Amino acid sequence: MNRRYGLVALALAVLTTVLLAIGHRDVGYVRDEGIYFEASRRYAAWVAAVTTGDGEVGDQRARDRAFAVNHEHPVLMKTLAGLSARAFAHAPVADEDPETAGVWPVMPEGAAMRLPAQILAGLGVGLLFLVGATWAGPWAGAVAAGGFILLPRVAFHAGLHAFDVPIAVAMLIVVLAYRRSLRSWRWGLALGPLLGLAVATKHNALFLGPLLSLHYWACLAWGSLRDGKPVTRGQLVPLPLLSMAILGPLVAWALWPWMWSDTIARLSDYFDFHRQHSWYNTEFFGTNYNQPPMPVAYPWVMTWATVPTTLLLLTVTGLGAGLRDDVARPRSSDAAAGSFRVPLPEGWARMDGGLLAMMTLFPLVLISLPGTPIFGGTKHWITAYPFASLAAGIGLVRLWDAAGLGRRARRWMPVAVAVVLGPAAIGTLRGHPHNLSQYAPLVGGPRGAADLGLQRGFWGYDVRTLLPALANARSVYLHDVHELARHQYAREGDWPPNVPAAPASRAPAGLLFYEKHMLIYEIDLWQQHGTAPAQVVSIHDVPTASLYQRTP
Amino acid sequence: MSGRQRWARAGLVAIVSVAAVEWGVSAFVYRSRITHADLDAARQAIDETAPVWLATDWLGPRARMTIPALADLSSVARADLRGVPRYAVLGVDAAWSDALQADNEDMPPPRLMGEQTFGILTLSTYEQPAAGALTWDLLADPRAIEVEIGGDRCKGQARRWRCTLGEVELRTAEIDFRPRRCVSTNGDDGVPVRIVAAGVPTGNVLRGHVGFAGFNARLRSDAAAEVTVTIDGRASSRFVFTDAQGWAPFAVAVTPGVHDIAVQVVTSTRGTWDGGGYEPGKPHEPCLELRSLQEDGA
Repeated sequence: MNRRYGLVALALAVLTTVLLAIGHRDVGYVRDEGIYFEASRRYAAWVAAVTTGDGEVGDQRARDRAFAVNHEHPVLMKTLAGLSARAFAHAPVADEDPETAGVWPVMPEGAAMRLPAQILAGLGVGLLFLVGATWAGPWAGAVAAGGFILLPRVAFHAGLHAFDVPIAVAMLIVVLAYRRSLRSWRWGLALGPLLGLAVATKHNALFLGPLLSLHYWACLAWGSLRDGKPVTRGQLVPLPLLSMAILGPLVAWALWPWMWSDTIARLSDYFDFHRQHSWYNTEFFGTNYNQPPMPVAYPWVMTWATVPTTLLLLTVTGLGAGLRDDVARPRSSDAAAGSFRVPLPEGWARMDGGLLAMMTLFPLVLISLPGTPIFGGTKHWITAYPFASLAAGIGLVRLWDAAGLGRRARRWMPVAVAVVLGPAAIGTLRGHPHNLSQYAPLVGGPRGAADLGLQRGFWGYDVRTLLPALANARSVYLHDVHELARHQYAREGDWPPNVPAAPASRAPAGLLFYEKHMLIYEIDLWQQHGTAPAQVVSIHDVPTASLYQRTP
Repeated sequence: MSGRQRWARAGLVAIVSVAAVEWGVSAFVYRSRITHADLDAARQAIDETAPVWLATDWLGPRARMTIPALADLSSVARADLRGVPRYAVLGVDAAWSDALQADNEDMPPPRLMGEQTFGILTLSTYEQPAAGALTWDLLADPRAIEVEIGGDRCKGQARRWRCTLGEVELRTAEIDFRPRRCVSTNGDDGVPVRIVAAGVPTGNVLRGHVGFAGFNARLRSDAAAEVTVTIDGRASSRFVFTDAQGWAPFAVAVTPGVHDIAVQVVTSTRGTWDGGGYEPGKPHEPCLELRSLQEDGA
């Protein structure tokens, strides 16, 4: 590894983490975070009890009590978040729990709980630079890193205590480890535990085993059929695949105490939950979808609508170049024989182009299937974005090189990188802290997307600027703010004291978060407060949330 | 220069060009372009004697805060564009919209009489000679109506009427993802709900709409509603509406004069969808409005 690249990667990782940690103080708590905050506290309390001797690992009742909450998702990120809070969180300012501050209380509890995901996002950015730089030079690395984290939606999700960017980064790590494992038995051994960590982050990683196996066997078939290389028995099911099949599930299971008892039934519940996931209401070109079939074009159009076209064109270029390399790769006659431990040694094609294309396209293809439950936003194929941005970085450099502009033109490369990353960066900076509702420039930004009838937002998070106005209300209708998110604001002193949640029909103030199907709840507020809100939160003129308040 | 180099240079130029366009567009789209002063100027320019509609739906919350005429339920939850010969439309770079077109129904396009701009806001004034003149509105004077469910006269007035076998409520409902002012009827299976208005000054046509409230209730097709309009005790027209029809219009010809008008709604079977799934006991509630108009050439 180039030492300079390593240092730049480290700097980017730290910079990303710090910017997310500071910037996301402005971002309200999304619905799911409310639940994850509560779960994190319980999981970390169990870990603390077990490690200090106040509890026992084998006490199933205590274990189940701790891990029952939010057991439809694995616990790794939530446990890390809870431990982070125990390390860095201020003491809650308003809560009945007899909890004290963290060991080094330097930030609010929510910020502390978001920190592990932010660090992982930083790690992902550093890794993308490193891989891009190693594969195609530092400017490819810069586009790979920037093309990921500078996307408004990625920047938004990267700062949350959630699993979407963590799983995107975890999948990148597993795929890179898999690539190394084809030529190194040590990486082959490590691959399984890394996959287990990814599965312990979010269920998306469950697709990795089959996908990477498919890629491996494609490489094997390519080497055998095209290059005429003999395939040994050990190559058929080699160490990396076995490691993923055996160590992966074991590590994932070991990291999820909820699964330690009644494993089969609980696993079955877990799979059923995600297989039969409810269909969220999603607006697409003015139509509200909440039942199958979903338009096949949905993830593709939404990707175009939320990722600057410049980066998409570079991604297509990079993927095309990679696939062309795979096909045009000269046959190698002096390849070593593959084995169980080193399945594809030097001389065997690893089909990097195919790997990158598969990892970029699979999440979008999966969501495109009309029978796949609607999960809502672009975050559900966010696992494609690290690979897409890596392809974009490679694409720019390959195009530049192929253009034959000469060595002197290389000095303009930083300008080219700034030009291609600019639209994403501007969108993210200008959209903060509402980037869940940000859209690409060619769509017309949020105004253009609203005109087209694309989803405005979800998760009821855009409330921070409205909180001071709630101080005079006796109670508030929360709409899409989860009660546990309200609880978190209250713990940190951001929610006015003695202002509980109440139904729209009784509360003197009410929140409303704009989505097409939410009109029904806004009408409830109109009955109490009239149709004119007291305050509106907007991104570039387009409302994301309103506060209705009874006029005295 | 090789062909490959030519292609690569063309690709590079194309990508840089797209990036340049995106930079340029970003300067416009990633900033607020509607000022309070623009909205205030639009408010002052609005002729308060004529209704004003919104062409840009997402502008609604901010517009309603600043412009009282847009906050009025008759503007927010209008039934259609009938009975209004002159009106104004406020939009963001838009003088008309799909929603206005839908509410214009089968009338010819309105005549654009004038246009003013305030920043990116456009205030357009229209005339619609075919709008007709409103002579009566069921929702305008709910105290004047009586409600019978299953033959029993219900208690209540003005907003809600209750009987043993059901109830009727004047409300604003979400129908086809738009707010509509209407009378919601909830009767037991097969029990007729009758809304009676005596001594109605009619024009030459009765026009109404029926729709089903709630996006979950419209998830799958549930029981249809049968609507019968009675004029002076004689059943004049009968319609059947399903929840897939959105805000469905209907019209009944009538002789101009004073008549007793009754509208009867029957829903055959309870049961519909809500957020938690299918609810067999939950009523599938049709919501209706009815007006009389004098229309030239009708």
